[in-house]
Amino acid sequence: MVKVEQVVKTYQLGKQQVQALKGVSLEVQAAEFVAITGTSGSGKSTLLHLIGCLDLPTAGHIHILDKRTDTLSDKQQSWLRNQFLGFIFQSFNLIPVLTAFENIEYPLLLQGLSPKQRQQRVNGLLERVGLSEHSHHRPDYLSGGQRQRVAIARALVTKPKLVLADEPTANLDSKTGTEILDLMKDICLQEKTSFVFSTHDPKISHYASTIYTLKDGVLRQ
Amino acid sequence: MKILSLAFRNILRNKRRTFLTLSAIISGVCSLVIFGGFIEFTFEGLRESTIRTQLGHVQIYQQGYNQHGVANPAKYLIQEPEKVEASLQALPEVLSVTRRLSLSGLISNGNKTLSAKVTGIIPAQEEEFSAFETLLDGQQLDEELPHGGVIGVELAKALDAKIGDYLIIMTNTLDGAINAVEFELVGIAQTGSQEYDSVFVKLPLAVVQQALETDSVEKIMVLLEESSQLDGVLTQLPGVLAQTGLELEYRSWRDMALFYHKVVAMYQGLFQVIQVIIAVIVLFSIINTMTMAVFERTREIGTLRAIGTPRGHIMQLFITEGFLLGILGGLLGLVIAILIAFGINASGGIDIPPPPGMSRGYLSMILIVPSVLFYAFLLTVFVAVLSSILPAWKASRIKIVEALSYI
Repeated sequence: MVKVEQVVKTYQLGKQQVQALKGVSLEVQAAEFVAITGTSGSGKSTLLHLIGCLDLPTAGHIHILDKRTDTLSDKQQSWLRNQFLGFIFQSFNLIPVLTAFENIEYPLLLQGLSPKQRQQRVNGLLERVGLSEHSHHRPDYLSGGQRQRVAIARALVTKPKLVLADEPTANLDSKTGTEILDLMKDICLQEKTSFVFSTHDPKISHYASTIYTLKDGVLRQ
Repeated sequence: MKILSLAFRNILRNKRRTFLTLSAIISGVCSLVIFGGFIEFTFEGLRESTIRTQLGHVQIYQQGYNQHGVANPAKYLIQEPEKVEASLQALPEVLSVTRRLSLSGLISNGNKTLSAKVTGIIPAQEEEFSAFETLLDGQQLDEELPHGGVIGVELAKALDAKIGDYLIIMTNTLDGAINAVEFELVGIAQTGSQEYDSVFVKLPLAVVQQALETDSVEKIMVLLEESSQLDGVLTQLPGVLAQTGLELEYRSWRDMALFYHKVVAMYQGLFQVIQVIIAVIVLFSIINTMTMAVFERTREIGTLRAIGTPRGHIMQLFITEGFLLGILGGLLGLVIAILIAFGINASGGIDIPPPPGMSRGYLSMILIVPSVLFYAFLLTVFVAVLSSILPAWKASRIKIVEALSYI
């Protein structure tokens, strides 16, 4: 489903050229639960951004659902992200002016679903992540764990094929982190959604079907 | 898309910044409305004084007067003014009708002789025409005083004339003979125009007719109840005049008031320059605050883009915010501007010194004119939308990865 081929990514940091990824290759199958570990600055986020169509590789190619990301226009990339990908961020990145319900609903608005369909799906997910009672609360009134649940629901509401999670548990205490991982694992199994996430949480080995380690821009299994 | 609701919540979010943007818009609207209301007052004052002291709303002449009357005045006078007056007075909009006959000649007190523009009027019918003339000394013309005359204050000074003095007007009759008439000075008046005050003489029509040796009049002036009725009257006028059986022509004050039109054109030019200046100031202050908003929300924009929002939507969102700010600021601005205008008017207006060529200053009010309000509002909304385009474009071009790690 996702194929990363010899991907190189270099950044300009001040006057220095930083090579974040030095020829990374990787494949993700349907319903796989993939963890990418590594120290901070090892290029985990960069790899996730490239797979998530948020950026393009300097060299090499990335195929998502048989489409080469560097051949897509910005519009097509946006569409792909909206239709087939879901994102979960370390600091949740909810829209502060929208309620939990509206945050989850947002990706569906881009798809032009009827209000009834949207309501059905959002309520279903609110229930799934255990936040039905908080649907009208804005993010400021939710705890960290609750916010990340909203973010997970937002990532899943479009029934994506692949969810990318960038250190989803890093800002949560360990108990809440475990709950979030349990939730993601459950969804992965039930919905056959693939997950790729970056983490340095040692608990991860219990969950992930494949674990990669990034070190100095090189990937090892 | 619930883009309106999202945009609305976003502008309520940083209240301080929204307040800053709104104050820029509100001051823009207020300046436009107040200045617009001020010049509208000037236009109205000048229009009414031009009409009521000099021109009337419509003037009626013998056919050909405007083309050939200057060279050959005797030939282009109205022979039977009573007929014309009777049919004009049948119109309900007509406030008053009066006849005029004027001449250029010399005025003398025996020692000193000066040039004068003499206008013959019918005192009883003339009151409405003198609304903008101030009598400084003595009294107005009166039917009881068939040989009384009123002259301009500057002319009176030059002749060293006092009330009760006898003055002589010398001129050519229509046949070319030299003639003189005598009148008693009964009043000294001021019109506001210094130039006019140094030449004008107002006499009973009969005295002027006697000086020119004629029974005819030069023109018939028509004053309406309201200036706004003019267009309606003008459409009926050809029919009314045809009924008299005389060969007549007419002109409305608009065709004659060159000075008025020049003043209007000048003020409007000035107003346009001020509009551009205000628009530019408002434009930059909105760009400034909007750009701050974009910076502040960089991460959020990155998130929206990451979950699949196309660039166009991001642009729309910020432009909608600009549009809403424009509407909100525009409406608030109108309310505040109207309150300020009421305040200025209630305090007695703005003291304006005498304009060039005028002898008196005046108190200017601020007129609340719907077209000015509407235009100020429209301009503001337009400027608000225009100024949000650049920040919106910047927001839509944000690099997602950089935006997501933006603190």
